[in-house]
Amino acid sequence: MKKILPKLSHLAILSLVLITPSSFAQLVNPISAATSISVSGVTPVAKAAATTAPTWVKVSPTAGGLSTGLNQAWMSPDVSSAWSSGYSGKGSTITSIDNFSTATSNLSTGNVGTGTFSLSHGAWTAGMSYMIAPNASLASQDYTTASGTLIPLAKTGLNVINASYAMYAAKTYTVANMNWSKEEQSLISYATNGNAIVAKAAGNDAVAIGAANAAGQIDFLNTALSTGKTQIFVGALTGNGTTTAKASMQTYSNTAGTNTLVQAHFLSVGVNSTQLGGLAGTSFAAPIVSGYAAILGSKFTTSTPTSITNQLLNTARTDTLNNYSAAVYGKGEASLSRALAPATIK
Amino acid sequence: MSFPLDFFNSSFWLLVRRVFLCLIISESCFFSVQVFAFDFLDKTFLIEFKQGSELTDKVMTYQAGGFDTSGGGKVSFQPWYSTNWTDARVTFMTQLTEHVGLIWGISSGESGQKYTIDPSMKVGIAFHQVLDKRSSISARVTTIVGGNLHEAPCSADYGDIGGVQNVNCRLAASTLQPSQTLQYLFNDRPYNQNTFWVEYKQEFN
Repeated sequence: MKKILPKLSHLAILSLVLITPSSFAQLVNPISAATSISVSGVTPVAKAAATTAPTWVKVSPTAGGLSTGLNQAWMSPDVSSAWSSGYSGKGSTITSIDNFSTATSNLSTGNVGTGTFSLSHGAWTAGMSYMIAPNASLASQDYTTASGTLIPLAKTGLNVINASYAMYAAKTYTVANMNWSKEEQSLISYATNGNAIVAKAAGNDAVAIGAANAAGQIDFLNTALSTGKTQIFVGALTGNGTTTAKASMQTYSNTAGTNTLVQAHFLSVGVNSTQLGGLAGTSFAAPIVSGYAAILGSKFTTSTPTSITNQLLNTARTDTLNNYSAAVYGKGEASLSRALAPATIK
Repeated sequence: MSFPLDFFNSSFWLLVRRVFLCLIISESCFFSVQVFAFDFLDKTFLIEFKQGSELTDKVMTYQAGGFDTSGGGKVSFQPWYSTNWTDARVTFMTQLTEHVGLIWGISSGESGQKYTIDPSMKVGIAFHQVLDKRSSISARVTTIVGGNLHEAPCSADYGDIGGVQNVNCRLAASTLQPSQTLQYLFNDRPYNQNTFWVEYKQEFN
């Protein structure tokens, strides 16, 4: 893929930015109740070919002590109903792009129903998708060490990429200014061309996708993904909604906004921090949709990522949400049971 | 006690032989056949009349099921797994000799939109022998011919994601691939297809 080069009119600004790389782009860990937002300055520019080998490694099913096969409180009732057939994600691959560093600053304490652990951000997000789709193959790529490498895809079955991170730059830039690393280039390409489903955490700035946050920063990865075929932005609800106990968007969660392209690719799922032992943020919403996509991929083995993306989006529920509007909730609350069901039957 | 001889000299077999002979000789023996028929019926007793069976019960458990379609419509299993007539069975025993009886019966079967329980015939032998003033032994062996439970598949339209496929109606919205759900269609034999029962009774002072 062609490198994105800054336009001539932005060269002066780019020069300034190169002097102060920390102001050019930031990788932000989404909110955890146990930690405040941590910001690290990283220049997301792929200057040369990858110098490190791909770190696409299989995540151990027992990573961090998380276990599967148990219906947990934070899961939608749809999940246990789907498991009753004992067939959940087989043949699909979920690749988590995240920070898997075990440095103390990256550890968060949480409890997803199998005990309290202190794990890296990546271990939590990968683990949660695995708990939803326990028969899926798992892989990971650490963006702190391997952003210069393309994200590999499994050769067979459905590929789902979980992206519980953001790529920020000052709002004075546009997406055209972004000089993406190979990692983000491949992520954007897969969504644009429909090669893989990209479940992207919407973000925790309480703004619309594509809008600047209070610090004047925009998640340009969201912006770049907005026009693709197989991206799903995932917002966080206060819990799993029902028609009698409806859910609302978490106050911190980004929303779909007025861009109809974004609305058409925006889903919400329940992220109740009490049920997650203190974990909070849209980081933990995206893995749920990743798991749902993997389950669909194991049922409809000949279906394309685009069809499965559309199935998840088109079967979302609005009757389980308070004061539904597309600008807030996008297509609505993801419904695994409806996504698995036929349209008609006789 | 001489079971085989008693059985084949029994009134039942005498009736069978006479009917057979009448068929090949002439209609004039119809009267004698009729007498034996009445004798046969005199020794025939109704021992069971039952509506429903374990297979009926199994099907009924799915009536309450259902799922939402992808568009949010409700699909109920009730119309598919209910019937206007529940399988009914009548069973008789005809005493053939002092010690031996013939068990015989039929069932009507039943059907719903997505299942069928075949009609069936039940045959068997009962034996009873008093050993002394305080003890006796009884035995019974029966078999059922027919009476199987079958289930028909549904045609489900999954739209762009899966197209139209044959599927087990009850598992159409499960995580199983549609083609894999077909192996779980009902195909059951009667629960009590073959039975053997022995009882020894001893009275104590």
